[in-house]
Amino acid sequence: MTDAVLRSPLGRFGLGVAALFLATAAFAPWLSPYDPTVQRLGEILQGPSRSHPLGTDQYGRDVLSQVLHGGRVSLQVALTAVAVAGLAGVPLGVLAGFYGRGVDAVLMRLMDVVFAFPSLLLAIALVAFAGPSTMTVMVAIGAVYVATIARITRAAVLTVRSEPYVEAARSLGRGDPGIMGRHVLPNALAPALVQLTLGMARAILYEASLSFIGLGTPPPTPSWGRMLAESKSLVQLAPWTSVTPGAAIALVILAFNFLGDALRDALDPRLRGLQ
Amino acid sequence: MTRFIGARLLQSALILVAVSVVVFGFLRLLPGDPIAMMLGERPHPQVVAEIRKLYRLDEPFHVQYALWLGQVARGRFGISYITRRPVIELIGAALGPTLALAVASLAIGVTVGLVTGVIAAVYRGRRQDVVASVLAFVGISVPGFFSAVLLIWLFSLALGWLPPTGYVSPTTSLAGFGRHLALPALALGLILAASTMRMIRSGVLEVLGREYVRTARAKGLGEGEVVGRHVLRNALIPAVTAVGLQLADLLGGAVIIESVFAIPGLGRLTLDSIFARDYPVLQASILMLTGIFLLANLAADLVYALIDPRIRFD
Repeated sequence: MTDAVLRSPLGRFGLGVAALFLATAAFAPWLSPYDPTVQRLGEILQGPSRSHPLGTDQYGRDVLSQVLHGGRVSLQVALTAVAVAGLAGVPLGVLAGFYGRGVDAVLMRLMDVVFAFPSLLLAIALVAFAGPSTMTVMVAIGAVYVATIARITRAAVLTVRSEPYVEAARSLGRGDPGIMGRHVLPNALAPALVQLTLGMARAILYEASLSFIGLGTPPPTPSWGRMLAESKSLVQLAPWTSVTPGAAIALVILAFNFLGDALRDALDPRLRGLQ
Repeated sequence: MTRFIGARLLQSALILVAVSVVVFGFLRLLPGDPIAMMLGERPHPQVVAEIRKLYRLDEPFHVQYALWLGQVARGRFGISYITRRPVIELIGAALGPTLALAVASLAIGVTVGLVTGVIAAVYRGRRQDVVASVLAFVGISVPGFFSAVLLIWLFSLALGWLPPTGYVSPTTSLAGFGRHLALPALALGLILAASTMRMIRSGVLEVLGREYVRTARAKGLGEGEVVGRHVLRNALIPAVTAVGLQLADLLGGAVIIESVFAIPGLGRLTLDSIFARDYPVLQASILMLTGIFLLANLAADLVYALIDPRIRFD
């Protein structure tokens, strides 16, 4: 699988940028030249220079240090949201697909209600309900994505559950939990994996969007969306303050999209080149 | 067909009711006291009690919901806690700008996506395809609010061609309306164009491999005619799917884009009412956005049935 992802140039690019993002986010405190929250009013809106490689913002904060630390919030939110979506969505999808009938009907109608909301709007509403905090944002984005993961897993389980090896396991006297865990789940996981990778991109986008409109991680913790919101009126005066966080968001989203696509091609060779 | 429309309408209505319970329930539990927002820091306890009674905030949850639903059914969404204007007026005023933004973005998205998607598929693997495909990937990855900032920088601040923010109603000035709508519609439309392009490309590629396309070529039709008459009609089906799938992103994106460009639409009304804890306005605007979303999804399903006679939904 890794080989197949690495064989495509876009997959390599995606994996490389994603790995770089993980590393810089993880080691931000050691990589950052400055404390991202310290304001130096004598050094406001300085262009890129040797002492500030990406310049400073309107409060004299170092943009590079802010972007590196902002990546931590994005990564934390995205990983948690995707974990929430996977840990809740996959079991729900397996249950709905495996048992069908009543269980399926109830779960899928519930999901229909979730799908009735435009997903970003639902995340906004959830954050408005619980008050902006990194934790709320993570759970809200994850909760919104649960329905997507459940639906995709359910579809995969529906095709797997009538396979002969499932029948064989049943005739050997295995119980439902054993069949679901050992036979159905491993064979139905691929679409969810692809979707969870793409979900990283979506979670990062939603976190940035929420921060941008003031409903994300509260200050002073740096986040890419808020950096962009605070600097958007300075785009002509000091482009580095807004272009840097904007480009960081776009690049990381692009990387996870490439990675998700390469993963899909690797797991389902029939689709290669079509998507 | 009639049965299908009826069933879909009923289903949408049921979902809307479920949504209204969720919206009402969630917002009732919101932190922050709207009465404190109305009366300032230290209101007189008796005044607070009077107002709680006046707005019937002292009733239990299900009674409040029933009261609210009864009002909503009669088109009364209550009075804004903040501006004291009827909510329906605020919603009515905000509906136009949001619909204008949504329709303009959709038009841009579908047109650009269709043209580039067909080109990419016809020139599969060649330079045109690579350029279009990479651009599409960039398009789906650049957040709307970032491209909005870049568009304002280029077209408003650097070139001075278009106003950076604001909204003018088409009844006031058609030219002003267009000039103010251009950038927000572009910021939102390009995201739609990117995902539409990807779906059209794969749709056209699939159709190009079909036997009737080979037949059309074999009987001597030129490539333009093959694509125009045989491929495109069939590739329109994934285009409708693409648009249907993007409606959620379109409306969610509109909330953000409206706030960047200071467009007085439903998205801004929603955000403003969140920050002001203006429950009646928040409920109504979320319900309205969700209603539009459901209706648009329904419309996409119907268009789907119309352009593809093979789909009959029975």
